[in-house]
Amino acid sequence: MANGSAPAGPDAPPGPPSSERMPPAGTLPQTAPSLRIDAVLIVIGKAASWLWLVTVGLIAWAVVSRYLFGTSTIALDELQWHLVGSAWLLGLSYTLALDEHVRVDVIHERLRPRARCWIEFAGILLLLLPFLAVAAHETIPFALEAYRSGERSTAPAGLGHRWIAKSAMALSVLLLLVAALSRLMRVTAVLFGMPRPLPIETRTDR
Amino acid sequence: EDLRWKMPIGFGSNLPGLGSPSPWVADMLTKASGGSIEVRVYEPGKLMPAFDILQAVSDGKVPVGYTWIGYDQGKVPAVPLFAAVPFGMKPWAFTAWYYYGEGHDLLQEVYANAGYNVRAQLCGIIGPETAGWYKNEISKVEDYQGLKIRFAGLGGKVIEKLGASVSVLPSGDLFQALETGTIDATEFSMPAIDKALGFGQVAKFNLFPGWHQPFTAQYLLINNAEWEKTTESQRALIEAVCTAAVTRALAEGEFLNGAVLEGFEKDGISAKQIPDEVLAQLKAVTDEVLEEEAAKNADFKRVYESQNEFLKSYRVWEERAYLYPKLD
Amino acid sequence: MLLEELYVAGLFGTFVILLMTGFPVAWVLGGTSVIWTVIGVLSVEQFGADLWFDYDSSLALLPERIWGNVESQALVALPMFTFMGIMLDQSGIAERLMHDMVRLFGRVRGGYAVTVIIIGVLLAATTGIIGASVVLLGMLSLPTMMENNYSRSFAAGTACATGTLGILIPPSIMLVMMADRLATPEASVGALFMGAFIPGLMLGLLYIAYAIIRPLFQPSIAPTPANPERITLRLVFDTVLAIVPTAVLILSVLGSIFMGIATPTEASGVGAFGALLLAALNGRLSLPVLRRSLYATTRTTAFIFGIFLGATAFSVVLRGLGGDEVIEAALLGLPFGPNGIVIAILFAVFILGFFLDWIEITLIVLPLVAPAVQQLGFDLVWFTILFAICLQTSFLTPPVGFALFYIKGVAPPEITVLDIYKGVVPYILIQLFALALVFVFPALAVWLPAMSR
Ligand code: NA
Ligand code: NA
Repeated sequence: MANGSAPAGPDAPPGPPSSERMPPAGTLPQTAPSLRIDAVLIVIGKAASWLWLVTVGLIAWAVVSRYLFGTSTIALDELQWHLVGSAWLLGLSYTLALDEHVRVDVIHERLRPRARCWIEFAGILLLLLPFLAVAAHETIPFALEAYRSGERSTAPAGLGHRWIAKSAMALSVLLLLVAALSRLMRVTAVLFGMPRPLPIETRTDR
Repeated sequence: EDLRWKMPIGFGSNLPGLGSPSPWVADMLTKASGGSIEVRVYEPGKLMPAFDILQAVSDGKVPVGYTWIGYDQGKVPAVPLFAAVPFGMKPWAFTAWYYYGEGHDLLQEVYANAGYNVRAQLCGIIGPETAGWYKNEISKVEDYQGLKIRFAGLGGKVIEKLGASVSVLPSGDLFQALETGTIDATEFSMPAIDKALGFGQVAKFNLFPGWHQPFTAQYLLINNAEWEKTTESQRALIEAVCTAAVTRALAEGEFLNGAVLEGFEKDGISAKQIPDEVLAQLKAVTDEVLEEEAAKNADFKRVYESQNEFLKSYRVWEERAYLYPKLD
Repeated sequence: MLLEELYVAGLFGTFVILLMTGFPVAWVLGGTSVIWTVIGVLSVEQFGADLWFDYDSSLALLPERIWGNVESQALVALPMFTFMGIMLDQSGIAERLMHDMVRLFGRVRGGYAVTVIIIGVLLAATTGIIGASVVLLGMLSLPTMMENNYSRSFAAGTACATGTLGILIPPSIMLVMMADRLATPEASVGALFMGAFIPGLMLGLLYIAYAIIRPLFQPSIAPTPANPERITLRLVFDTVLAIVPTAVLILSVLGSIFMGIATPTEASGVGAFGALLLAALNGRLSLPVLRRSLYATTRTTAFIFGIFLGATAFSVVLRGLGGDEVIEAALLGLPFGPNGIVIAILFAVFILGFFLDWIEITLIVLPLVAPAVQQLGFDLVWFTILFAICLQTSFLTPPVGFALFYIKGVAPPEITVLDIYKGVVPYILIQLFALALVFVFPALAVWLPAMSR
């Protein structure tokens, strides 16, 4: 499975060297509104990335405190998945803004850029947006319900306020919707010249 | 109208007494209704995680669900009193309070007051669990201090007060957690079920009695709108099948447990009794916990008082009429 | 049943066709499930189709199912092992290892290839992902092998295949995910890690055997260098020293899991911490490096969980349309014995692996076939390891093979795609041979997990 514009993968080599090795083929032009939207999504995604480091610290702390002091707390264990869950949920739209969700490129990479844009256009309208609409329609009440019922962990000493993590889920879907619309603008910029594509290839910072 | 029920369940149907009644209930409803109620069972996680059954039934995403409702204590504080009570009633006493006392009606009120749109029907019960599987014996109450243990329900709050670190891992994670030392001990259920989960391979002490769960009750949760759709004969059938399932589940556990326990001894597992003075302390803390919960939640208080009211007269009868096990 | 079969076939068919358009896999899965929800609901409500399908008990359960992935303690290991791999890549450990070992083994025929494989196995035991190792092995070894006139296909094939061992040899995010999907105590993460250990090492040895034997018959593909370095005590000492940090990391992660000191989740965090520490000790840890690694972890993790999102929607719609029953009936109805059914499943997975990647296959196919296999009385660890070897192979099989793409990306320009394809063919055959060995001798997979009980 290869990626259309960048070598992402569970397996993607990190950092700039890889993007230099494989220059993105047929990158979409930016537009004024999508550039601003993407910038926000990227800031959120990058901020969420630091949660990995916090999680590493938490786990290291949990292991050390268990073996040195014989203590362990359920809340600390639960905090780990709260953080990890929030990080990847918020990372979904960042990854979409950078177009690093995996694609099967066998046929795709042989198509002309304009044909690829039409596929992207149809895909966003008929696959991605309907899916996100359903997800939003279901995840928002799900988060509200957790707030209404005052849901907390089943473990007596576990964390309370489940609505926070469940809201991250709803927020993630909303951000994905925004990211999808932003990408749609970049596609329509190529296909219909609406909104106006930005003249210089504006590089979005990974 | 013919009903087609997708029924997610909280425990694998391979677990005797706890999960095994669900396919039986589904089968009976389907056959005895002559097809006017068709039920399909969905194993845990197939449709949704087991902990979300109440919400999904209440939202009408699935018409019914079959589960141990104690998992919802994070959402409905009073519910553990209907699922398993430390130092609580024996199974038949619980059914007495549930069917002939206020139990059934109170449960409906508890759900309604917590904002859930479900009708609950007692649909399976089993006898005491074991007090769990331990790497080291519990011989004094201080042994709970710092113990990492998986312990569901109100019993968890009790030993938490005694300094234990309590988690509620789902059954699938328990063996691994015990094996690798994430936890030092776990309770799960009665011997016939614990055997299926293989705890004896990694924790050699199996403690008794099951003070934290003298009974464990499962319920059929039915979405209210779905219940409104049922005809009178369908309702009668649902109630009859569930009442039968209560008897069957209890019988299945009682039938299997003794033989399983004998087998444990052959595998080198030591069955130990928790000393009486430790039990007395556990009982004292349990009373404290129950009082605290009652002070925090009005529904909990009502149910707790109703059970105590029933027990006041029941104990008189129980103490006089039943033989003590050792004199049988 | 016929009606359900039609819908299930339609669902899969739509997915495969839309996948080929090149639209992201995650959204193809999600979108397909919406399309078939509409078709299913219309069929039932407008045309009275006799299906047990409705929106409420399928797609409406999306939040509950996504939440199931959020609240999973086991899945915490996935980003942690990913971060560990990325961090290790940045730490410069592998570079140093390669530098010293090449000097040590250079004088043997096929020595460079053997070095690549040994380093690949060591890397595999420290990372849970493959991309980093394929790229790293390719970058470090291909120029050297080209300088020494190795055959292009032999060199590329070796680096490429060895890089895929990381997903099989524990720790492995693939095994973490498989255990999460199977959700039974007998196939826990720990059990799968132990089950994969011997088959993974065995593959490494088979690779080495190939890299030594093939040049014996065809010396031109791996000439010995004209004036190799003399092996001195100093050189041996340097090499040993270079292995130490990696060995410590392997011990701290795998050792702590196998000896029961930590859960795989904890080990993943400890490993990530260790990789950070090693990078710092090597003077490679700067704020930009840390930032880059964290961001890369987010993108990788998010894209995997993106597929989780789509796949969970797809699975629940598949289930609603009667997919479980259709597939179980199809499998159990095959005119073979139990062994034949397992072989048929593995063959299907091998073929699927040409077109799909391990994530979709793990998320969608594994939970569908595992109950049927268990019902036939097979050991779940054994079956899952066979499944995992098939998926590891899928990285090497064109047209869709991650490892092939990565190696192409870093290979010197004279190495063509055809060279790479030719080079991996022998390794694919070795994979199939290993698969057969584990199939015939289940102890290879089940002995170690059983020992630890
Ligand atoms: Na690995
Ligand atoms: Na492939």
